[in-house]
Amino acid sequence: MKATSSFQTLEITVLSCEDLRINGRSVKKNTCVVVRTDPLNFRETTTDTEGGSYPSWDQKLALDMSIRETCITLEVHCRTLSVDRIIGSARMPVNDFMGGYFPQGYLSFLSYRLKDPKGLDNGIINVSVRLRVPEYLSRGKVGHPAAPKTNDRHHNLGCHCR
Amino acid sequence: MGNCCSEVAGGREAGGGRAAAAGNDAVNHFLKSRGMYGSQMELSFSATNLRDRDVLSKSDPMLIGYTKGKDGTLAEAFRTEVVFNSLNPTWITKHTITFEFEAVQTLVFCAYDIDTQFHNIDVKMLKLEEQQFLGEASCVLSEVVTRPSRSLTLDLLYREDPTMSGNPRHCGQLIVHAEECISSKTLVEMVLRCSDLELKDLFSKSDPFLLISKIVEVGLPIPVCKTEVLKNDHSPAWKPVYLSIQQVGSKESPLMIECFNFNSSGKHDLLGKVKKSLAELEKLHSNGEGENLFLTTTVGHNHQNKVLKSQLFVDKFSQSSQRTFLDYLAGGCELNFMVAVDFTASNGNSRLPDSLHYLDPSGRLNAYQRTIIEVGEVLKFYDSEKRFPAWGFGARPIDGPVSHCFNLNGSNNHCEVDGIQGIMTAYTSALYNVSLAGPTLFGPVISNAALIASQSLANGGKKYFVLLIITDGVVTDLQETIDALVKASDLPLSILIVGVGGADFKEMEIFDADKGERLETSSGRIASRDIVQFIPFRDVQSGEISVFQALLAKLPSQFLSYMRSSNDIQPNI
Repeated sequence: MKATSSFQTLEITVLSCEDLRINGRSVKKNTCVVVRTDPLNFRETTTDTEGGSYPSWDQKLALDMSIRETCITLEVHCRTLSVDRIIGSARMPVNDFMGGYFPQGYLSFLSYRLKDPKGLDNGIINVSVRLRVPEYLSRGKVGHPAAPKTNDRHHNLGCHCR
Repeated sequence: MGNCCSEVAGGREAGGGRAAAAGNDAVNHFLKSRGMYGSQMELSFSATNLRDRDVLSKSDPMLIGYTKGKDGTLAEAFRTEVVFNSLNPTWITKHTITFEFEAVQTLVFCAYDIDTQFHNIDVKMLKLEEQQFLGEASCVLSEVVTRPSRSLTLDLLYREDPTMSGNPRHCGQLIVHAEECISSKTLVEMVLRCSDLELKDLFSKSDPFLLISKIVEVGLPIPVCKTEVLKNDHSPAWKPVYLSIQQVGSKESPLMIECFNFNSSGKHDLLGKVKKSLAELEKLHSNGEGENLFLTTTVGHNHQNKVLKSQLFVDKFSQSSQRTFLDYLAGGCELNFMVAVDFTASNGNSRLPDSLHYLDPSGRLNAYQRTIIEVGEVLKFYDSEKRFPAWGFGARPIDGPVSHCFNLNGSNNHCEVDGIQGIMTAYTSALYNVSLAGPTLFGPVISNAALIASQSLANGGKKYFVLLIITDGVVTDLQETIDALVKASDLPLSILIVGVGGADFKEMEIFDADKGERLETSSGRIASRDIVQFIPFRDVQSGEISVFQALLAKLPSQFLSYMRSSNDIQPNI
C-alpha cells in the first residue's frame, strides 16, 4: 500500500531582518516574526528586544503545510503590551525552495523585501528553509538525493537552447 | 584608509543568511588581488628510480626547485639537502609556498647527483655546473593541491643535448606532496565591544563599526575584516567577527583595530584605535580588561598619541579548526568552468581588424580569446573531466532566428567542449557560422547555467560552477538578468563578467554587490549571496597584478560561503 500524505513539515529558521522602520524612523525594539500559511496556521519567533531595526532570532520553527500550498507569508510584528502591529510582510512562494531540481532536504537560504501595510518597502528578511520529509516516506527511500559518487557523471547535460 | 572604506558598500555586510551562516562574509570585500586568500602550503619531495651515475656507489641526489614567471624566467626557490647513496631518496627539506588560487604557479624541479668531494659544503654554495644533472620535471601547484592525496608523481626527464631534438630519456620519478599549514586552518572568533565612545559634539550621532587591519612594514595597513555598523550606539557590542590566523600572518602579528563612525558619504570619522595582536586580544579577553583607544595627532613632524576614555573589550575569543577550500577539494568538490560569448553586432564584423572578434592571422589573440585563456587556464585544474559548457548569445545561427543561448560547438544536443582548446576551436568555428545580431541579453545564459547547477545538486554532485560571460556591451534586459541572478544566488554558482571594448560599463556595476545594493527581483525576492563580479577588460593593462587575478581571487571565498552553510556537503578532513 502506497503511503501518501497531503501534509509536509516546513522547517524554517528565521534568521534576521534589516533596516526596519515605523513611520520612517528606525524601529527601537520588540520585533518578532510570524510565519503563516493561513490565518489559523502559524508559528512565531520570540521577541527580539535588542536588535532595533536589525533584529536577529536564528530560531527554527516547524510549520505543517499542505503539499498544495503555494505560498508562505512572513510577517514582522512590533509588539508592546497593548499594541501588535505588522510593520512588514513578504510572501515566499514554495517554488523558491521546492520542486524543480531541489533535492529532498536541501537547505535553501532565502531573502525577501518586506512591504509595510501601505505597500512601501520596509527592509529585508533573511530565512533558511528545509522541507522535512515525513518518516514513512523516507523509509521507502523516495526521492533521496544520490549519495555523492566521484564517478557519477553519466548524466548528459543536454542544453536544449533555442 | 579612505581607499578601503569607500569600497565597502554602505559599510554593511552584503549578502544575507548564507553569508552570515558561513562566517564573516565581509572579509571577502577586502580580499584584493595580492593573493590575500593564499593558503600556506608545505611541499615535501621524494624520488624513485633515479639514474645511477656513480660506478662504485649509488647517486647522492639533491633537488632544486624553481618558480617560473609568466615570461618563462626561472627563479630559484629552494635546494634540498643531499641524500647519500640512494636512488630512491626522501628529502627532509621542505619548501613553504603560498598557494594562490588565482594564479598559475609553475614549478620546475631539477635533480642533481652531488659528487663526493662536495659533500661537506653547504648546498647553497654548490655550483651546479660541477654536478651531475639527473633529470628535470615541472608542474603547476594547482595540479598538486587538487589531487585527493595531495601528491603528484612526475617523470624526471633527461636531455643528452639540449639543442638536439628527440625524446628525452625518462630517468626516474619525482613525487611532490603538499600539506596545508595549520595556520590556514585555524579560525578565530571574537566578540568585540567598545565603551564610552566620544562624540564630536552633543548633537551628533555615532554609528560605529570596527575595522581590523594587518600592519605591514611598508605601506598602509591592509584591511582584513570589519564588523557591521551599529546605529546610534555609544557602547556598541558587535556581532562576532571571524578571521583565519593565516590572514594576519600569525597570532603575534600586530593588528590595527580602528573604530569609525559610519558616514554614508564614505568618509568615515575615526573615533579611536588600538594596536594589538591576536595573542594580546586573547589576553584582554581572559583578564576581562579593556584597552583604551587612542588617536594620533600630528603637529608638523611630531606625532602625539592622545589616549581616550573609550575602551575596547574582547567579550569572546575562541579558536577553532575550519575547513578550508583545499579540504573541500580533497573531499571531492570540483569547480566547473562554463563560458558564454557575446556575438552581438556591436562587436563589429569579425573579418575587419577593428572588430572585437577579429581573428588575427599573426596569431595575436583578441580580447575574447585572451579572457577565455586567462580565466580558463586557472580554473581547468579544478575539474577532473575538463569538459566545459560553452555558449554564444546574441547571434543568428545559420538558418535560424536570433538565439540568446546557443551551443558554441554547433551541436543541438550537448553544450560541452573538451578542454580550453575545445573552447577556442568552437569559438573560431562559431564566428564563421553565425551572423552577429542582438540585443545583449544575459537572462537565458544565466538561467541555463543555473539549471545545470541545480541539476548537479539533484544528482548529489559536489560541483561548484563558475560561469564566465564575456560581453562588449551593457545588458539590455537588466531586470530579467537580475531576476535570473537572484534565483541563482542560492545555487552553487558564481558568475564572472568581463566587459571588452570601449563601452561605458558603469551600469554593469549594479551586479556587483561590492559596489551596490543586494539584487532584488520584480517580485520582491532578494539575492541571498553575492555571486557576481564584473571587470572591464581594459583595466587589464593597468597595474602589475592582472585584473583577472583580482576576479579569480574571490572565488574560493564565494565557494566557501556556499559550502560551509550546506550541511549536505562534507569536506574530507
